[in-house]
Amino acid sequence: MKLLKEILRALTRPPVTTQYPAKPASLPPSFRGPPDFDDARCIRCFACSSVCPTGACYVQDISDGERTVLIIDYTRCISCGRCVTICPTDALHHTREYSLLASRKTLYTLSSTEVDVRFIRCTECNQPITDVSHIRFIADRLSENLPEEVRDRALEDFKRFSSLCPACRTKLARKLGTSPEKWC
Amino acid sequence: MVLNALFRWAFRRSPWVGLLQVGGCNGCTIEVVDALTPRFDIERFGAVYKSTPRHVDILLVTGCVTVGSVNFLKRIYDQIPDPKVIVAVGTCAVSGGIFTNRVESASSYAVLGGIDRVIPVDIYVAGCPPKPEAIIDALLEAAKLLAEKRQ
Ligand code: SF4
Ligand code: SF4
Ligand code: SF4
Repeated sequence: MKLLKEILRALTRPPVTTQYPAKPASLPPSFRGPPDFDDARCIRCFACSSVCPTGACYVQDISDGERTVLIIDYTRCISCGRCVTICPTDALHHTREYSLLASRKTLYTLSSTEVDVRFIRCTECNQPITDVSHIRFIADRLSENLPEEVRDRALEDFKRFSSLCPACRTKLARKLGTSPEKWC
Repeated sequence: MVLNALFRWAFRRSPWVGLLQVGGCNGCTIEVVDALTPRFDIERFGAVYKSTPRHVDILLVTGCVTVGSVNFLKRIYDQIPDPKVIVAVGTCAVSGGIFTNRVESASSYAVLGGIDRVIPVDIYVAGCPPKPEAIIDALLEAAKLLAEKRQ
């Protein structure tokens, strides 16, 4: 009797096998494909390249500090989403790409258009520091988020420090002193 | 001549598939096994899973090549009769994936990288791990390539 029931059920139910190549795959709503980027939003802050565990996404300097491209190498990307989480301007987002196959590896690399870097150089030693849009982004954030009382002083300090490379910045900080009392 | 045509016709819808793991975390191997289950069922396409390289037309390789697995990967590659199609399944097999880094000094000392460092690869399937659907796509592509190689 039990077997009969089972047979009847098997006859009336549709097969569990997916109809995959004929019908599209069903992806869960939270499916994370490899990331894609919105070129206009990227400020070349290098945050994604510093957290990527495989070095799949990186900002490449293509002509000695003059022009850069943002590259995502799908042969290396493991879709972990760290770059998407860290990106301060939401320039990166997950795609819903699930079937990435190719006969050559080079077909996988996704690169942005070349962007002229407008590097700020250290006013003391002339080392390139970072892109102008990155500094501007930080300044905007500071002025948005700092409390009224310290904003002007902080921005003044930021202006002074952001035009120096890390080494010269340390020197200046030593000279000025950076004790917390300064802010109280 | 006629016999050859008969063979080709008979082979057309029966690519036999082998699976080899040379490193990695086992995730991709499980996805390939998933593609064999009734839910995805690659036997719909005439593909039969074989566990000896001498019966295999399409070899799915998962995982990155480690120092310890170089030799057996080479040996198994040589044991597969021509024509053969090698599919690198998963980011590890394609490039070394999470076990290596674009920056050489950040890579593992025991991992060589993708399997194309050791044997020629026909189809690369990226993804960590790729979905069974991607493996089905790769298999169909490999079967097409195999038919071309038999010409
Ligand atoms: S998803 Fe992970 S592996 Fe892929 S580019 Fe982003 S950080 Fe790198
Ligand atoms: S983290 Fe975002 S803004 Fe920064 S370099 Fe990467 S993509 Fe561009
Ligand atoms: S590609 Fe990812 S899932 Fe596949 S073996 Fe490598 S680490 Fe594991």
